[in-house]
Amino acid sequence: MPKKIVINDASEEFLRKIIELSGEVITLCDQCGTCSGGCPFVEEMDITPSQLMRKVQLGQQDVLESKTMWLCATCNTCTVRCPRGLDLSKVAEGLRQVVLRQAIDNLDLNNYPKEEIKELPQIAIIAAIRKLTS
Amino acid sequence: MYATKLASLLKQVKPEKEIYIFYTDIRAYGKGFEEYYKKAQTMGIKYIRGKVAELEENPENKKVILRAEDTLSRQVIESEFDLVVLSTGLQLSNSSEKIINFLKLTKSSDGFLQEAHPKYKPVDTNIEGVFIAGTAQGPKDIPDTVAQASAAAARSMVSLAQKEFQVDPMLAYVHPDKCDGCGDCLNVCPKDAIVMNKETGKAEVLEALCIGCGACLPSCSKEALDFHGYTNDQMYAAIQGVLDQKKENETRIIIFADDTCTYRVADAVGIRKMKYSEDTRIIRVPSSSRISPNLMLYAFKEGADAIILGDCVKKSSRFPWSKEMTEKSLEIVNEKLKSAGIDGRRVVFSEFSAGALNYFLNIVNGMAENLKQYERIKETQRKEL
Ligand code: SF4
Ligand code: SF4
Ligand code: SF4
Ligand code: SF4
Repeated sequence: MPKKIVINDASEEFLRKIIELSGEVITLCDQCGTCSGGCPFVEEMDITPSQLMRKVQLGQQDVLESKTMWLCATCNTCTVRCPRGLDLSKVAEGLRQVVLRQAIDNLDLNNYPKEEIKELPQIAIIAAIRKLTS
Repeated sequence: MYATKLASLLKQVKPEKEIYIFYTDIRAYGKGFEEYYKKAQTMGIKYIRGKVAELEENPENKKVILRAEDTLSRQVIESEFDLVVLSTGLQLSNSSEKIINFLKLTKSSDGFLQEAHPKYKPVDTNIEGVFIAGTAQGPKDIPDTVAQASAAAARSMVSLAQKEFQVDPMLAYVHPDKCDGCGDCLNVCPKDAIVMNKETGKAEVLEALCIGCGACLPSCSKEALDFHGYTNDQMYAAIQGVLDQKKENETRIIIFADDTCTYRVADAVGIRKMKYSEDTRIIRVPSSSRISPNLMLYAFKEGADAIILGDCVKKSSRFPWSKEMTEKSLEIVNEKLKSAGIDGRRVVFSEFSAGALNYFLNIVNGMAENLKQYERIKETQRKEL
């Protein structure tokens, strides 16, 4: 039996937050599926882009465990096709932000010996700091 | 759509309220409706495709626990809501019953008033001079109601502008010389169009009330009741005419086809060159109920092997009583056939709709097939009728 959806203050808050972070009126999504049908990466995703939209609409936070938002390459194929004018890549970015801001994999250079840091490629360190701290 | 309207109004006044609309299908069909729906979504009203399956009160906080499936994500929702509002369908108002009974208007199967024709006469009723508009005829919004009401007003002006009231010439009438004033025909007419003239002591058809179904004709055993354009003499002649050329080993199926539906479907079948049994002969009638038992028996006497009485489907018929009244005549015919030893399945009533071409073929060809199984009617049996 799949998990039941529960609509409550937390789910509403989650939706509000993603709307704010992405700047997209997510409640407008009609679930037409145009985005999923044309997404070049959909085969690699565990849930389709339109499923991702639905989960956000319903405030289902388990969407954060999905791979989809990380696989979205911001190619904007769906953006130009969405009949409701939604930019799904921004929603994916919003979701990524939520995870990143939890700072789970935060790179704190203080935890590494100075010698080791010297050995590591500089660009990679900076990219990692940028990406993982947001 | 009115759920969307009420939700939008509430959201405007209290934006902090979270509103969910559970639906099975959004039918935003009118001008600007789709935009209105989109606007509601932009305001943050959420639409869940799925019919609410269960409601239950939470005994602790008195809120409503709702269960439904979101059929778009195929997940079940179980959540508490402060208020659940049921969006009911629109029905004809109770007070309409009175006027319906008084004017003898007809209702369609959906419970609303029936228009004279869904496409060509959308504001007329079966009664000349009575028009319908708005939610009396079916659920509709304000612009549609205004448009329909304007049409009804314009239609009524057509009647008012005439110096004399014109009626359809295809109506019932009484032969005063044949009528003996027995009164059998009174109370038969669903429109109460037949009255007894106290002075002459004979029945009379009120032409302004008669709508030309012909259902009263079988009630007069003296054939004093008749019908303009489809008189008894004409009908007997027509039956004789279609049976005239019948050869020894041929069969004949007569279809008494009502003008509005059966005749039209037969026409359409012909236009498309669809094949049906060439033993068939079609006689046009105002409605199947016009055909009296006498006419049917005459047909068998003269050589008919089967009769199909065709009329409109009851719910969309101008004469919804036709089926019932035809069946009464059929009972009498069946009795007679039985006593002459003729299979009663040779005469059937069937409802046709003008577009159901294959159904027409099935009925006609089915009858032709069946006739092969039945024993041929003997001349002696025909004479007994
Ligand atoms: S923007 Fe992302 S979700 Fe949209 S088509 Fe491209 S990869 Fe797929
Ligand atoms: S194309 Fe737009 S409206 Fe359609 S499912 Fe995707 S996001 Fe929703
Ligand atoms: S049933 Fe025939 S005869 Fe009798 S009153 Fe009516 S029209 Fe006259
Ligand atoms: S034809 Fe129909 S409406 Fe006219 S008098 Fe006979 S039963 Fe009544």
